[in-house]
Amino acid sequence: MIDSYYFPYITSLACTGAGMAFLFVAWKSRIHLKDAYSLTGWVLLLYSAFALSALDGWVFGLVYLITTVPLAAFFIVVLNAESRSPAAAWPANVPLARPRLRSALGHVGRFSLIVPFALFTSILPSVGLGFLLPMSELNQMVFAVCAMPLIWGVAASAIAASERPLAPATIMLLLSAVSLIPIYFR
Amino acid sequence: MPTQLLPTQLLPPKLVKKQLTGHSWTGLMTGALMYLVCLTGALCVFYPELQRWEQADVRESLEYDPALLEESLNSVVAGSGADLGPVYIYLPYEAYPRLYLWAQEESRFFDSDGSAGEPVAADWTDFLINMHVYLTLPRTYGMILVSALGAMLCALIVSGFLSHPGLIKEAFKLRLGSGTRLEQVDLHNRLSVWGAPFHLLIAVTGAYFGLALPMLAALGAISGKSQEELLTDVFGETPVLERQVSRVRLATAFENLGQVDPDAEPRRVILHNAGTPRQYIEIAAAQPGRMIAGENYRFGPAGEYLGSAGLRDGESGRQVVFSMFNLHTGHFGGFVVKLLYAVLGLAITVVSVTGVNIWLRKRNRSDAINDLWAGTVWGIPLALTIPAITQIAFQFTSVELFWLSLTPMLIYSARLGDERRVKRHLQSASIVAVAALLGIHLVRFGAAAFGPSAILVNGSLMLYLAYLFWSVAKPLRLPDSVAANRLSQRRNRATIGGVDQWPRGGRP
Repeated sequence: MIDSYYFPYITSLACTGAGMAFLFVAWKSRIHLKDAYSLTGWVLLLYSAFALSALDGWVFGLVYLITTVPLAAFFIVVLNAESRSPAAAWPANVPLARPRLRSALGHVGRFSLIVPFALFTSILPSVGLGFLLPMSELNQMVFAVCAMPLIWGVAASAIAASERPLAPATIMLLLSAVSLIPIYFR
Repeated sequence: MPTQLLPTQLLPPKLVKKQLTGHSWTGLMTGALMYLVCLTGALCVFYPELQRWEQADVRESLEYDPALLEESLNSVVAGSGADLGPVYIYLPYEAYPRLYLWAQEESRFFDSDGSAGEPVAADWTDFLINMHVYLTLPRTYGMILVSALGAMLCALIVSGFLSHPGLIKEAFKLRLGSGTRLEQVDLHNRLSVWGAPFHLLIAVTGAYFGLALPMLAALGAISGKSQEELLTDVFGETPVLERQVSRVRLATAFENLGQVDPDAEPRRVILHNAGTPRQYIEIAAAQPGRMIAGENYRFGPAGEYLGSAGLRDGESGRQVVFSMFNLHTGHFGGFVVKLLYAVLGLAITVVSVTGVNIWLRKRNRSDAINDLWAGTVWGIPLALTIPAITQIAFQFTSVELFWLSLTPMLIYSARLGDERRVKRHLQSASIVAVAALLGIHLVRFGAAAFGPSAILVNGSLMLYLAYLFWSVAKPLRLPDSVAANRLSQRRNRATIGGVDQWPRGGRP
């Protein structure tokens, strides 16, 4: 006999499974109800997270959502997997091509912009953004520490994607300069 | 056609192309280190279980007597000089039901009578944590490098979404086929899209640990506060006492804790400034139903309650800081949460590998980079197993052993010149190593190898062994040129005398 304490958890898990199943049906579906299936799926997933949040707090609800939903999705992906025969072509080894100096220097330059440069230029925007928020000094500091890797990551992806990496790098420099305003007037 | 779950195709193709280039570039730059950090991170989720497995024959119990702890603590303080420093007593809990005392860089388990037992020696787990947190580099540099990988993971998640507009359209698609590019693409995209929120959480919380100190230095420079002042803001004031050195009343402190917070679950006792007039007791206690790692309750040497650090009910920023460890490691909701974290951690590991595989397949040629990558992917688990074997067999492990094992594997991989044979050979070597590890563990610990302290790890090793057997048993496809040569040789042999001797079923 299952303890009644676990019923809400079991219900939430069932909602997660059902929500993901609805999303899968919506994904597969060709009929006009696909949007309704999709909506039902998302509502069930959100309901399971809200139910868990009501039981154990929003942090647990959020963590529940981001851990069980992917696993439910992986499960359906595996069930839906199609097996294909291996492709015939498999190239034989060739000698390693020698990297061109210009290309290698380009990579080193881009790396320098992405790692040390983006690291330093994401500090001031994180702190500046933190100081703009109406919070205590401690909360602003913690916000800055947590936001910094995200800002660094966004800057890194912009520099890595750009054909002219100096353009996003200049934007980061400008952002750092602008961030001095809230820091100065805090 | 499968329908869309959410509106997509909002991005211009040029942006998508650029982001894809940036995504590949960042992934290739960080691929090997990301794989190493993610793999060790997924294993480190179970670090208490791994520590128990390393010393499977240690007595386990969740019960302890504060009076006996008090005796032991006072005897350690009395038997040491004035420069003892802090003394830690780690209390048993579900994941690690063992009690041990740490003082002056030495840890020993407690026997049931309160006397010091055998030393705590979980060197392989320590090495694994060292690899995950510092990449075995000097601590400051290692931690900043690993944190940079956290930021790069954020970059990869952002560019991954921007460069794959069809992600949602293919949300449940998986086309399996031995090593084909499509298989790698599907595995990479499915695991990364569904796991993205979790991966982002791990990236930000992981980056936090290494970036907190440089950020504090920057904040200090901006705010004009010293690092100590900033740390006090975050961690709270510490008590400053000046009393005559006397016997530490730990049992009284436990009694008072029961009155202050009856729900608290004590995990660790720290006697700060032990044996000096400034000594005081701190009991770190887990808070059931809370994400924070715990609350620290402070007591004077006589056991009187001084106050708490204010982690439980303090400002939200402080609570966030003290939730980071649990959020990153999954140590907050029991075994099930840890299992979820380990599975999703392995998912990021697979994403790291398949990302590089996609790039390799896309090149339409194979060279030493393919071989070295296969050597890295299959060599690292083997190189992690070797120090585990020496630890269980000889109580010896070292960082050098790992790198000295991995280096010849990489050289061998490059010399072999065929990534599938590299994979096959390293997997075969792993079978031998894992079987040896299981055998040595069984010989050393006997029945305890199947006891509650070791069955999880040994069971996982057996599953890994079964996977390796399955993988090695699959037929190996040869490169086109080698296959063509062999086919031609066989054809020549078979048609000697003008008689076609191919077996029934036709030519391959």
